[in-house]
Amino acid sequence: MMDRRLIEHFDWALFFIMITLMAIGLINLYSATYYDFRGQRFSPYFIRQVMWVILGCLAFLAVLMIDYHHLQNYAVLIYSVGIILLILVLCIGQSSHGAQRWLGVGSVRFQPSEVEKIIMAVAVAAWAASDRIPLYPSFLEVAFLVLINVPVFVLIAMQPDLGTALLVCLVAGTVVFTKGIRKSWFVGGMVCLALLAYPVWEKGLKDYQRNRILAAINPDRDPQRTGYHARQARIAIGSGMIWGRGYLKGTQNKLKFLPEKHTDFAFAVWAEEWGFMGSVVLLCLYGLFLYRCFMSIFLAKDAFGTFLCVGLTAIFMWEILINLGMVIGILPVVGVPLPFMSYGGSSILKAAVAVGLMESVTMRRYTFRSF
Amino acid sequence: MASAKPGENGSSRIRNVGRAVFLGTGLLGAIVLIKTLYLQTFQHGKWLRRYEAQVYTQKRYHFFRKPIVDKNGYPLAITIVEKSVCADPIQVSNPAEAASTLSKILKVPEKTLMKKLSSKKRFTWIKRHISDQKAQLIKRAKIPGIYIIKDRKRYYPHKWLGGQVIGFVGSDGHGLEGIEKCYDHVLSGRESNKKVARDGLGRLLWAGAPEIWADKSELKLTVDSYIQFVSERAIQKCAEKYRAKSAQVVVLDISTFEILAMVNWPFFDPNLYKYYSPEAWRNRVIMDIFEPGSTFKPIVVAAALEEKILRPNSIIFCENGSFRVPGHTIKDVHPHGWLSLSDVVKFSSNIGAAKVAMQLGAERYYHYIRKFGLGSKTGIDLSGEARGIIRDWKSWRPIDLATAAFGQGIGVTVLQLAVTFGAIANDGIIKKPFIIKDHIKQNEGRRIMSRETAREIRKMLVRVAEKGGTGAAAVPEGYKVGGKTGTAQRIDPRTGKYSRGSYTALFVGFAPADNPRIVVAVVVHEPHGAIFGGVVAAPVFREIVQNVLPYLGIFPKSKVENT
Repeated sequence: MMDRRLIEHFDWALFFIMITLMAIGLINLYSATYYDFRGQRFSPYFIRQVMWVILGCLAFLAVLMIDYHHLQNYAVLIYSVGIILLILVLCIGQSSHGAQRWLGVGSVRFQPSEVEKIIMAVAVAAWAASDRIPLYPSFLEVAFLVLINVPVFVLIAMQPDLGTALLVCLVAGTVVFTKGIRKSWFVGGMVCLALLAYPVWEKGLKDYQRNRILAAINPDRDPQRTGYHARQARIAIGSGMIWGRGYLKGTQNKLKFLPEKHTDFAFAVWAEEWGFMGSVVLLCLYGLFLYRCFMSIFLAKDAFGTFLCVGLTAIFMWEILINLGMVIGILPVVGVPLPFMSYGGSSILKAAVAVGLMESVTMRRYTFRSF
Repeated sequence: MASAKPGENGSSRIRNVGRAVFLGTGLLGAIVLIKTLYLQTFQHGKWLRRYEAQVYTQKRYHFFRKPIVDKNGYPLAITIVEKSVCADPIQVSNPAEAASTLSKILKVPEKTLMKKLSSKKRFTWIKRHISDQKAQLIKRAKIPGIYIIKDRKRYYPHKWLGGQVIGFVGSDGHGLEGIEKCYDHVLSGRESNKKVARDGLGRLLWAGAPEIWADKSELKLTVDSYIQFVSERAIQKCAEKYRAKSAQVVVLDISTFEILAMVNWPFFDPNLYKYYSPEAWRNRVIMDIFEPGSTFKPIVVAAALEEKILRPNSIIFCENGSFRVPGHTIKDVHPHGWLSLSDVVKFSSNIGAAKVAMQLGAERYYHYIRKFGLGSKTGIDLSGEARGIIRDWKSWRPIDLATAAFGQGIGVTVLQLAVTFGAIANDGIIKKPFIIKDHIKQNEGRRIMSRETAREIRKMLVRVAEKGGTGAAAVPEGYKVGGKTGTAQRIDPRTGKYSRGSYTALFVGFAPADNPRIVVAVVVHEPHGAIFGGVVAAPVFREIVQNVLPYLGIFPKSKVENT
């Protein structure tokens, strides 16, 4: 059943970049959690992440085997499963740091909102690729898309995890933008958002969320509390200088100044220890990775494949931009992980599956050679 | 394949939009890169400064107060770590309950605790230096806001041994009396600031001990614990037997003028200084002055010999016990007729001494007194030393000159007396006495009388301690010693006149007689039952010498050898 052409069309560059990023992520995680578990050779975080990476690679291979076309047929089912998982999280989920985001089986915890990003990408791609939808979708059709987005947004926002909820919407929005949207609608949407900003700022946001946004604008406003994360991250990055402090020598992490160092602020750890050179290398790798992702869009031969790749690329694109923007202090602090670098099983699994799907699309482009 | 292929139109559109999005992403990525570059290179200094500001802090390290040790290095004062209870009253949720629990454990009135615990301060001592058991109990009680911390305390392992000399340290860690006060700058002196790192939770990271902790030096005294102890035991026995008001002993090493022992009775335990009256803290050996009585006679004799007015065997008529000086009559305890100068000393004739002084004349005698260092500080390396009282000779009446010969109308300290005898025993060279071992280097003597004079006086003083002399009780078995007794009437501080029943008994002497090593001055104030120096003070001298000489390597000669 394995077709030789499948391997011929496999995007090795994307694959190797992913493996490199995974390795860098593990190296960085080792350093980030090294000092919290002194005396142990490997921190439990590191061991767990290694297992998730292996699991992710297996999932990657499994996804390659699946012909992505089937996903379009089962889009409704997949979407429903996603919704059910999110409802389950709210009912029987486990919480930490005051947020109920995980489903747990034994000591293994799983974050459905991460996988929901892929599910939404599949669902929106199915919507965009369906024959009924013209190049510029009508109001009702866009309204339908918004309608399937609303429950996902609400369910994730209720955990609460506003960052992920917004990210899912951004992914959907990117697909719609690619599909085609009338200029007047686009401008109108922007104006609506601008008008909404004030009431949301006044009523919709909690105090801590408002403070985070203010802290991004001026991290010295309240350096000990709301501005703490942003300030410490910038101190870490800034004190790295050109060549960095050296591996395992990042004192911001070692001395426990940097919060969330192994998850959202992994880049700060990296930048402190490897300096600007390390940052450039990492950013270039992400650039290449995104470039290969975009290539998968252009290489895709059918509408569903194209839009699926658009959605998946959007996930990476937004996650990388938002996370880096947050760490270097251009954006407010939101809980968006850096793909491959941040600790988190669901995140690494999601990334591996997403790359797998893109590869799946790229591999099968020969099936349209007749076109 | 269920999906429809995108039309030509749509496909190229998607391509264009995709490119646009990719370019946008690249643009945003470039912004991230530029910002990172900006942070890591151009703003590097700023963030590094902030990093250092939050990580490093200056911590003050206090010197662990140096120990005071005796001549042989045995500790007399050390710094130990004990547990103390302190509180952060803001954190104490229920002051009443906390106060009652603590008062039960610490035996401190609840009211005082309540006052402390309801204050608005962030730190207050509850009780300092508590036992481990009590600390355990308090820890177990788990009262919020109450903490057990380690606290330094000055501890005097020998309790009262040399208490007034050593002095003590107040709760702020600074010396308040004695050597602790006088040498506070040496003992506590330095503190150092060291850059230390803190972690994100505000905890200090151990970065090695500050250099000053490596300084293991100590303040070494010339005092010998053994000699001090022997002297204390001897004087205590005597003072308790005669119910004295107070008593002092000084033991001086003659070759160097080191203080080997400096005793003040009643004793004082610096560990418990709060329970003593400030009177008991005084180092009376150097601070209090008194009339030296007959122990002063060797000085007048020395002056007469030095001036060659008399020779040791010159004969003086002692007026059979009663001698009239204009306005007054001087009396001897035992009436004597003709006595040699040596016997004047041996039998301690006041009349004989007065006649010698009169032959010398007030001016010469005064200058000799001053030459012996009396009327000025001995210069010992302790603070608070008294000068003594020697009135200028121009104001002396004939009776003043006569009584000055046997130590009346003159004020000296015990130390001055010991130093005077030290000069006699040291062949006429007087030195500054000292108590800090390091000060031995800068100690040069000054000759105040010829070697021959000193030798003659020593001979006379040895005769005092022979059979029939006033100081016979001072002789320990197997040794020959020299010394002079003294019995002085005390001046009643209320009336300003000599009181009838109040005396000071003295004995100052050196041992061994032929090659003196130590001078011991014993002064007992207001003894009851007996008053004479030869009875009260001389046995103390004997006991001290008997114990100290073997310790210094000078062993008693057996009677067979002696004869």
